[in-house]
Amino acid sequence: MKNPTDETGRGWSSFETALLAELRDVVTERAESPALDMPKPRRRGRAAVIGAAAAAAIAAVAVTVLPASTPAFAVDRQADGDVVVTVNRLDDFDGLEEALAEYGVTAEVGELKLVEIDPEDGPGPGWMMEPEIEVETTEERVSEGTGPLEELCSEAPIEVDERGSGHVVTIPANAVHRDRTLILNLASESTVATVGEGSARTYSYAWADGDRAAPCITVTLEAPAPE
Amino acid sequence: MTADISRIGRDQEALEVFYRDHIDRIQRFVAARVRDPHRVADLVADIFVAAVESAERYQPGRGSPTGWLYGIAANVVAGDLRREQRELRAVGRVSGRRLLDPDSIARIEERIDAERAMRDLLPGLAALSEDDRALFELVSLDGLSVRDAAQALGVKPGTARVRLHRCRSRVREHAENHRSAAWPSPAREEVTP
Repeated sequence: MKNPTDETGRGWSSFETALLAELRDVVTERAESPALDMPKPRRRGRAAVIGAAAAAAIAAVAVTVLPASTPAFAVDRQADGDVVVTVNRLDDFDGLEEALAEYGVTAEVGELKLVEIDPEDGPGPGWMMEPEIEVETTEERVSEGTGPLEELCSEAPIEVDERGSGHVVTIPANAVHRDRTLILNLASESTVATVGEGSARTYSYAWADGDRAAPCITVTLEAPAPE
Repeated sequence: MTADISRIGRDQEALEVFYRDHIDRIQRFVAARVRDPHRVADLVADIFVAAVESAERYQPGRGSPTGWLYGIAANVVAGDLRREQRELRAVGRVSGRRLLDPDSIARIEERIDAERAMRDLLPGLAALSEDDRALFELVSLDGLSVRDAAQALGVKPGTARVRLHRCRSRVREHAENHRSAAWPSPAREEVTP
């Protein structure tokens, strides 16, 4: 070993040297163990069971909500350059993000979910939508500020048509830019049904660029705990 | 030289490269969160053993080795805090404290003191939820990129940026409400880069 040093330029302590020696022993033991490359049947079996259950649950929801042939989402560009996204089901965010990228929109799409409020964090008991963005606000809010991201919130707002079983999201042409990220969160139909239709926004969005972010529409629903 | 993560579980040389790259920052990470040098030593050992045992599952496309390792570190430290609350200390595969000598203990105590001084500059941390505080600390104290911190905590980078925006607002608000000598102006610039 060639005189390893820590961040202050001093040599390693005996602890750091001894720990590496112990870890090398662990690695040697693992490398000599024939069980290392064996599959882990219990873990795989468990994952398969969970996967099957989840698939069945998704299929059940899809059948009750929409015909099986209805795609989870569709992306299109209008003649004026606006990008229109129709989201029918919240089950393929990665696919939706890839489809949006093809239209020049860098996006991270997530689901608004109901979570229990920790009594230490809020007035609870009750539930609220997560991810919430500004807990101080109680209603939707347009970000105010002078930065380019905040200006984007007010000058090129995204329109979201909240429909019974999904959302139609229109991203203005002048908001489309690969170097900034649209963070879009949508609530599922079952979540909306739980809290009561019309009682809460079913989406939130923000723009991010580098380490900066500007929340545009936020949701901080607080509701009684579901039965 | 960068370690091939997939090999550190069975290749001593790959392990050593990985260990050299990360031992300082992992000790700093733990020393910022745990104040007993013996526990720091145990947890640092636990983190590297967990990395060795899960290296085959590392997927380069899902983030950097640093973000992956900090994710392990965050889980190990959080698990230890939960165990501490239950007063049940699990016995690790490698006992870090067994490897300590007086000089090593003194070196770890120096790290704990250094990290404590840094944390004391941020009194607004107490105003954050547990999840937000973990994210804020990874970026502001541990110096991770937003992307690596997001990976460590299992959230999307954009979501992490929005949460950081909220954290900075709250810490700033806390500072405004508790403006005193405890919040010197240079530290405030650190919080809002």
